[in-house]
Amino acid sequence: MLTENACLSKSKNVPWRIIEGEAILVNVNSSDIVHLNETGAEIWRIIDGKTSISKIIEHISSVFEVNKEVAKTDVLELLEDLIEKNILETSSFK
Amino acid sequence: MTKTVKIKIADVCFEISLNDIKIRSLKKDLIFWTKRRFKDFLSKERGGFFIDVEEGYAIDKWEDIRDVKLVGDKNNSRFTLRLNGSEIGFIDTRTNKANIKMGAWRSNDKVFLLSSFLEASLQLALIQNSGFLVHSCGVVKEKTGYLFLAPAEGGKTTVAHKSRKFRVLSDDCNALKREGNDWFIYPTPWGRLPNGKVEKVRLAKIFFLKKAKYLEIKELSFGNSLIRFFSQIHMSGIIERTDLAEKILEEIENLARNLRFFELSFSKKSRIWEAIGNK
Repeated sequence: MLTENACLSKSKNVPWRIIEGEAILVNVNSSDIVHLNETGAEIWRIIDGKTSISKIIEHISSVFEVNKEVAKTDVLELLEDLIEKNILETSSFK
Repeated sequence: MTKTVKIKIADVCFEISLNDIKIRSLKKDLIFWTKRRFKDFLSKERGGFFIDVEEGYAIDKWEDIRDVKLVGDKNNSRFTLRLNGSEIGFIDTRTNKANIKMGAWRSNDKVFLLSSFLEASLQLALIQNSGFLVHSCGVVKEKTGYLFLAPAEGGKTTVAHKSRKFRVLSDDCNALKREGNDWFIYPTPWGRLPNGKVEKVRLAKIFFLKKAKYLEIKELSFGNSLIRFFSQIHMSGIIERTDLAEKILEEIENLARNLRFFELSFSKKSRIWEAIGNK
């Protein structure tokens, strides 16, 4: 279960691109390709191993002008999915 | 007696050596069938990629050679070819050398295996030279190349039939290569090559095929195009290497920036070229 003070890192085995607001991630471990829409791509972009999940939620709420609860649900759902696919790694807890 | 077969596909020259096959009749048989299989691609140019074919794979039970798998190693340039867990060959992308051991299979099976091995070797050679093999039907209309992508049974051969008045490249697998920001299609020996011409042609548009009861062409977004394109690249064993996956991504990104991608929904009765003409 993710907590909002956790920080996440991108896996080194995931080549990726963000172009025209959308992201493509290649999961080398499972030979899968993941396509992220504009919101997902923005979440992916700001994951750097230092930014906490709560900061990501605030950022998404602000950029896409949605209330914090909606942003929280969307962010956590995506992050949990990407962790399950070994695309994201939990790097530390603040 | 000729001991090598030289083949050129998408400007990659292969030199297939059969020196290590000791039984003269087997060597003769394999050379004959290999030359016949790749007749449109035979070349006199010296190879840049060397494949040694040997005898020596011992079989102790019936095996289906279609179970052969290419396995990439994350830590080095070597890919191994495995059949039911046994190594029967390798491809080294650093030295451009490959080796395959043949078992006592029928000639058809040997040539099938050699063909699959050549396809994997070509894919690896292309990836390092700004290109890749893609499941597609290629068509040349008025010196312009069109590429139609689909998985097996996805409509590529139907498009080839509908394009008979133009020059059809391979109806199943074509090579793409970048020169600067221009992309070129090359036919390959995989799939039917109706007129035997193997020259490259400049690529203009890419269509993803969708079988439907109606005719419709719609332009696709970058992300949608990229993910669909990625899934049609011959990837067995290759995507496990982060560096190669990164390289492919880089090239597809260039492709998506320089060309337009469409979804072509069509039925057997659709007059696709009339619709394509308007795009």
